[in-house]
Amino acid sequence: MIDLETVNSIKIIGQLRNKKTYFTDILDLFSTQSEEVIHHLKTAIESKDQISIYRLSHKLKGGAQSIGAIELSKKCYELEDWSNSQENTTEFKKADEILDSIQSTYQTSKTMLTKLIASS
Amino acid sequence: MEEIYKKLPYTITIDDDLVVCKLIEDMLGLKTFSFSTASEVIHNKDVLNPIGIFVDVHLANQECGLDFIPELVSLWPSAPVIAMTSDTNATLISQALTAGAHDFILKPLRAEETTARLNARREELQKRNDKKQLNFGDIVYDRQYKTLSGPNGKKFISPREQEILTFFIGSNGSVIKKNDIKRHVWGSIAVSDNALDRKIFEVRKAIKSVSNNVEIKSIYSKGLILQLKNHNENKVLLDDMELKINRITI
Repeated sequence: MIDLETVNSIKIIGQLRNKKTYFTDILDLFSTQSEEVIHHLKTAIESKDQISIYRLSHKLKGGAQSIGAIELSKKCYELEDWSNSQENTTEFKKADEILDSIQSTYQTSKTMLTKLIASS
Repeated sequence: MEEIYKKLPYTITIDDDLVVCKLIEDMLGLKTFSFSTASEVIHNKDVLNPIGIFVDVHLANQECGLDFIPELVSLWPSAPVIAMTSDTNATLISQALTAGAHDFILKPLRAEETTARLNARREELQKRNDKKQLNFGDIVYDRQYKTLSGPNGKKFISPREQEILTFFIGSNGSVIKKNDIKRHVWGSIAVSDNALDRKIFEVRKAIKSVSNNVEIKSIYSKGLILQLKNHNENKVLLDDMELKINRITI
């Protein structure tokens, strides 16, 4: 679910810069950004905007990878891949389902990352 | 205020992911100016003077970072342009490098790698920019005087032809696709095949006027290549040399 190597590399940056709450700050930034992207994804799916779905899921995927939320990045890739497929112009129900999965994985990942910080 | 920007070292990060921008700043220990689109950077070009530029492939407003790489390289020739993405697509990587990016890094970024790549590319650029002449075979392109010379004479070439020739020489004899030339020389500006063909014709004419030994050859369905006319004979000589090297016992 979480890539510990990525998490540790972020912690090391914090140590280099003498910032004790560094990972928390990064997580907060990631959370604010991700929640906004998820909100825009809902709108994009409702308006059947395949291009925006692709770009937003790609963006969220990149953000998830940057913080080590591997499972979340995989879910985002599912949506990105779906939106890239030509045949899906009318089957947006599938996109909705993937987004639900993304939201739930996001919450789980956030909880796990918060626990990781608390325990270190 | 503008003078301060020009004197202090900082980088530019073009990425709509604020986490990446923050991480780069803290990895390098250097201020990074973050932009979500390359257009914003270009818009501010007169006040910016970065020591390095990180550019994501997928940007806000549906911009493609690759399209802006040539202009970024041209605006700040001493600042390495490092493309980044989370896509492991090999085509994307080659497109970024062909567009003129000095290096490419995959996300998630790692502090040591990011710092090492920036520093290594900066050092290379400093060395390369000292080089006033580019050579290929028996032709020499003089950057300072914008002339192409060879055994048969010397010829002045226009700015676009200079860029195309420089791109060919920099390709070190590898095949270049026409779309790559368009992207490298014109960036995001749309260029017709006819317009490109006319420019390539002029470059060919210029080369022919100064040398009988160098040519731009068309490879059907693949692209173009700058090569020596006796390329095949040279290859035989080099293959022979390689065999001889391998026979040396230590």
